[in-house]
Amino acid sequence: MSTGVVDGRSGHVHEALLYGSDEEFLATTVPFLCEGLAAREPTVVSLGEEREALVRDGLGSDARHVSFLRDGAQYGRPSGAIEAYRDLFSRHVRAGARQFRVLGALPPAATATTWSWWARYEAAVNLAYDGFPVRTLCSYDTRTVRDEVLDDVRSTHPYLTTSAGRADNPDFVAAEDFLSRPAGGVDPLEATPPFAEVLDPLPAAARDAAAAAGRASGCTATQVRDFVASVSEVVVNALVHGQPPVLLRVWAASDRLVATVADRGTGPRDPLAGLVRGSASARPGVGLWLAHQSCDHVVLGLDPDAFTVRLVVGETGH
Amino acid sequence: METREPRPLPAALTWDLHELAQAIQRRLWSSFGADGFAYDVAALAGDLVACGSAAVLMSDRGRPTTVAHSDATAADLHTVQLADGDGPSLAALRANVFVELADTVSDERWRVFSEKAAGSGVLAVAAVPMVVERSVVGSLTLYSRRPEALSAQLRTCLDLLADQAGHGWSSLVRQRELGDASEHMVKALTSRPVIDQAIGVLMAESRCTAGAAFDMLRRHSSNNNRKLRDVAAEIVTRASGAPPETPHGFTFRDGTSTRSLPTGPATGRLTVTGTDAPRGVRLAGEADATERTTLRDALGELFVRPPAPGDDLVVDVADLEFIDVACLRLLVQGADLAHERGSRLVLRSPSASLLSLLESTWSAAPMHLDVEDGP
Repeated sequence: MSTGVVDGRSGHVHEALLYGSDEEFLATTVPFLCEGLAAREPTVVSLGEEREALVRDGLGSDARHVSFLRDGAQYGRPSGAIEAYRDLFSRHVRAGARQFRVLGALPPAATATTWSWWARYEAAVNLAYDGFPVRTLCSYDTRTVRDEVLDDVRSTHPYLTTSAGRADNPDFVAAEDFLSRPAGGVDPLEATPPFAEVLDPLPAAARDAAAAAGRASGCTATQVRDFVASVSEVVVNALVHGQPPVLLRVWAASDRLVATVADRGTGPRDPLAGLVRGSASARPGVGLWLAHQSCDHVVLGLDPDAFTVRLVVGETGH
Repeated sequence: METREPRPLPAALTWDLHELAQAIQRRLWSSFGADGFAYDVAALAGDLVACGSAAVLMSDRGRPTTVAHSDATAADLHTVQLADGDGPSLAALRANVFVELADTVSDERWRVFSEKAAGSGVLAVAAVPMVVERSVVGSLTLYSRRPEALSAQLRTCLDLLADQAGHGWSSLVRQRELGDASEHMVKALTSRPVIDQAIGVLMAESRCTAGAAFDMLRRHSSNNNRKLRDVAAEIVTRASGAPPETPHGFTFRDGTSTRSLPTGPATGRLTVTGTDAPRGVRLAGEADATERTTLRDALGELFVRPPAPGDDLVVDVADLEFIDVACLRLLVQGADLAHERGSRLVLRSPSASLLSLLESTWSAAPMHLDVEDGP
C-alpha cells in the first residue's frame, strides 16, 4: 500500500472519488483514512454533516484520531479555500509532518449554482497545492451532481480512486488548458435587458453605473460597495490588459447584482489569477483577487471572440 | 503501479523574456528611486513562479543588506541568513555562483536556513549573483513552494533579471550620489507633458539649467526640421526605455497590448493637496488607476527632500471616497520607502472600507503603513 511518497513524488496528489452509493463511498473513504492513520499521517476530513456522520460510523473508534473541519468554513469561496488549505498544510509541514491527507466534499451550493468558479478551483489546486506532501481525495455523489460537473471533475483530477485503489485518470487535462476553456455560469438575469450598458467605460463611469444599479437593487450597502469596487477593478484590468472595445453591462434584481465586463483579449495567462493572493508589491492580479474575495460568484469566460468576467453579488441560487 | 516524472517548474508563468526585459526597463524609471526599484525587482522575480517569493541582497560597502523583498517569507529567510552569516543568497554574493537548492527538506548545506525555509513552505531556492563590471554587487533569490528543480527557462529569466537589476540599481545609486541631478531625472520622468520630461532628461544628463536644456531641444528641432514634440518624445524614450505616456485617450504601446490609461483631467475626481505641517498630502474624491500618475508624483515629491528620521509623512484620506488597488499599492510602496529612510508614512482617518481593502489585499505582507484616526 502506498503511503508517504506516492509514485516517486512527494508533492500534491489530487484524486477524485465518484460514487453512486453510500456503500461505495465508505468502501473507498474508510480505507483511505485508515491507511493515513496507520502511517501516523495527519488525516483531515471536510465533509457535510451527513457524509461526516457516515464516515464517523465507518471509522468507529479510529474517528477520534481524524481532524474533522467544520463544513462551510473551509469551502466559502474558492480563493478562501485555497488560502485556508495552504495555511493548514504549512502548519503540518512546520509541525514536522512528512505526508498528510485530506478527504473533502464541496457543499451542495458549490456543485449546484456556483460550479464555474469551483471548477476553476479544482483545476487550480493542481498548481496551488503542489509542493505540499498531501493526498487530497475529493468526493462527488453521482446521484445528485449534474453530468456537466462530473465532466469537469474528470478533467481536473489526475487520479481517480475507487475501492479497488487509485488509477491514472485518462481524461485529466493540464490545469492551464482546462482554465482556458469556455466557462458557463451565465446568470438568468443576463437574458433580460441590462440596467446599464457602457462601452469603453472609464473606471469612474463604471463605478457610477454599478452604484446606480446598486441603488435600484435590493442589496445592502455593503454588498453594493463590494460590487462597485469589484466592477472598478475588473474594468481597469480590461482597459489595461485586455483588447478594446471593452463592454460593461450591469443588471439589478431584488436579491442580487450582476455585471459582465467583456473585452476582445484572451484574459490573464496566470491560471491562478484571482484565486491566490499576490505578493505584496506585485502588480498584476490584486484587483481580480479582490473581486474573488468580495463577490459571491466570479466567472472567467474565454470565448473565441471575447474574454468575459462575470461578477455576482448577492443570491447566486438561480 | 504507475510512475510519474516530476513535472518541471512552469518557467516564467507570467512573463516571456522580451516582456520581462520591457517590464524591468519600465520599472527603472517609474519606481521610487533605487529602493523602490529593488522592490519592483523582487516582485517581478517572485512572480516568475506560481506563489513564488523573492528578495534582493546588496553589498553596502562590503556589508550584505536585504534591500527589498516581495513578502514576509522572503524577508524572514534573508534575515535568517544574515543572522547565521551563511546561506544560499550570501553564497551567491560571495562566490559569484548560481546557487540552487532543489529540495530544502533534504539539502544538507545550510541546515539552519533549510529548516526555516521548509518550515515556511519554501521547498526550492535559487540565488543568482548580480554582477556589474565584473564585480558582484548583490544577489537575487527566488523562493518557490515547489520542490522540483528549476528549469533552464526559469534560470534564463533569473539571470536576465539579476543582470538588469544589478545595472539598474547601480545607475540609480550613482544618480542619487550625483545629488540633485537625479531629482531632475525623477521629476522629469514622472511629470507631463513630454517636453518637460525631455528638458528634465537633458538637465540631468548635461548638468545644465532648464533654459539651456530647452535651447538645446529647440536647436536640435530646427536644425533637423523636426517637431519639438517628436524630438522630446525620442529623448524620453531613449532615457526611459519606453515611449512617453500619452495624456489622453487609450493608446497602444508598441509591440504590446498594454495601454496607458488616461490620467489627470480625463477623470478629475481626485484632488491632491500638499500639506506642510505635518508634511504630507491630503487626498479627496476618488483615486483609481487613472489617477495613478497624479498620486505617484505627489508621493514622489515628498521624497525629493528626504524626510528627516522620525519625521512622519501624513497622507490624510478623511475625504477620500474611493481608492482602488492600483492607488492603494502606491501608498503601501510609499510607506515601505519611508520606512527604509527611517521615517513613517501615516494614513490619517481612513474609512472602514479602505481598511477592509488593505486587510483583504495586503494583510499577509509586512506593512509599514501606519494608520491613525483623525484629530
